Amino acid sequence: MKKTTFLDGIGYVDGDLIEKAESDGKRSRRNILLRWGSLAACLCLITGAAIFIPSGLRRAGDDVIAEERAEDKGALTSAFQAEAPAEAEEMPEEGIITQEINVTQPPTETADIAGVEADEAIVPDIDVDIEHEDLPTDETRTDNVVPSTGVGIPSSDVEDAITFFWRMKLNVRGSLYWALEKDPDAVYTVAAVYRPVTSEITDFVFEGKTLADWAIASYDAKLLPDKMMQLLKCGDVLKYGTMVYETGVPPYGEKWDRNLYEEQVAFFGDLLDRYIVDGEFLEAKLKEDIEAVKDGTSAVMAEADEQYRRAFNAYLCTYMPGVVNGPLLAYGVPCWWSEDTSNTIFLEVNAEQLENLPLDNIGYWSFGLAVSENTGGQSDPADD
Amino acid sequence: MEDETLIRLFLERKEDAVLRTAEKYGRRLRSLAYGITKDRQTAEECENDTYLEAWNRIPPAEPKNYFYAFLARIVRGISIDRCRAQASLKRSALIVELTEELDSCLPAGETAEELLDAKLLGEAVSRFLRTQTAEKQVIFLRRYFYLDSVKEISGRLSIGESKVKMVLSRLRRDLREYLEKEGYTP
Repeated sequence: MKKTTFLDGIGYVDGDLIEKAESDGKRSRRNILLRWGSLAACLCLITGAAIFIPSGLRRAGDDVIAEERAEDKGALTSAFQAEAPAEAEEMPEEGIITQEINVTQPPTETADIAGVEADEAIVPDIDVDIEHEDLPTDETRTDNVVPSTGVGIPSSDVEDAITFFWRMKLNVRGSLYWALEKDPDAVYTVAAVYRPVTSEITDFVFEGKTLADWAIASYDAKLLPDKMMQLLKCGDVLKYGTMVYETGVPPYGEKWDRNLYEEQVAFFGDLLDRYIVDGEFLEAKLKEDIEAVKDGTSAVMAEADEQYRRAFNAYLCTYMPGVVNGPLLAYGVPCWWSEDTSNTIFLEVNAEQLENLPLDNIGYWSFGLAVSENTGGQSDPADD
Repeated sequence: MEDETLIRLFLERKEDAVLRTAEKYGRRLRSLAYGITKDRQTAEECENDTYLEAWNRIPPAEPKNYFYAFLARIVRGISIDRCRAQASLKRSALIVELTEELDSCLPAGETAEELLDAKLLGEAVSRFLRTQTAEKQVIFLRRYFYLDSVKEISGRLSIGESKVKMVLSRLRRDLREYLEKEGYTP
């Protein structure tokens, strides 16, 4: 039983006294210095926020975008397309299952991958064209697309919902993990999925903006309606600037902790300039804008998302051929990529070759067993 | 929306009651909780727990007068409990400090639990505060209800910190005497 203290007893003081203590005692005298000092402090905060927030959002935004992108897929597919950076930071030991899904048996029957000759498989007609119009959509991206070779979609079996940190080096999905365990000498068709932290990619420019900028813009579009709703709740307090934590604000003398105030200022950023003008909170305008945003939310967000996807795919069209024609070609394993496969490269490798793949930022990659289009089965080690 | 209307929504078990209450008092409750916990997320959780608690208490309670005070009591209690439970909030030390300060007001040999239940104690404190000036009432409640620091009270009332400390000290002494006169002597 909780012990009663006098502090608890104070909670039962009469209501009128409680309300009086909240509303009374506001500092009544405010000299000119205080007033201008508050304004100056406000300006400093807003300027500081304008400088520092973008970099903060850039980092935070990527996590959100990565999560949302993963959630766009079905559970199994999204699991296959791992958020490599996050996994790279929290990689389990080899053989430890990272999700609690009970899989007790390795894959059994495998399907034949007919007609895939190694010679045909090496980089067929990669067309690197940044201005391409027919970019993959959600439905046609990587995991649902079958390249012209007839082989290629990653397995969506339940074991691919599990990721292993294979040989303390690679993020490997369950289907491939079990296959490698079963026969490490066999050659498998492996789907290598590339998931970089796009909000950190500032050296690739698409239609005048870096990929990082597109990622942040997409994030902002998703966040905007929520931010506006939040501002509606506290705009009439924030309009008082530093008074909020210095003296309290009318009508009840409500006073915030300074840290809370500064967090809010940083969170709302430019919205404060837009909706708090000359100390007045433009509530009506904000409500109007919220309605407008609500009406057009899906369109605004979809457009920002689509722009981001276009930029990301354009980036892939530059980056992936470089990987295929560079380190992988030199490594000598059969591999292929096309625009249709988006962020996935397909490889023909055995366990040893897979382990030593010469890929930069290996944490951004995850690997699964590819399956054939017609059968939906897994590649057959015996085929090789 | 008037408090009476809000209470009616609660009594009629309309889910809108919570939403409207949050619109009217959410910010103040969150601010109160933050002042105690100094943790934004915890403060938001306390605020939400307050609505649930209010939903459970009304009915039978019908706090048509001073509805905010009713909610403030709840959010304060929840916030203090959170601080006690979560040492990570680093506010438990303040709670202990204030508890000890207040316990010094009790007649020798008594604890609040032995003496009487919290509600009766609160009523006695109310009677005592009504014998004090408005400023002293505010100082006492800002310190022990809202858990403001001496510095915050000083800034709020535009008076020196030493004066705040002195007033609090005298109030504690006077409260102790008052409780003894009320018959709480051991």
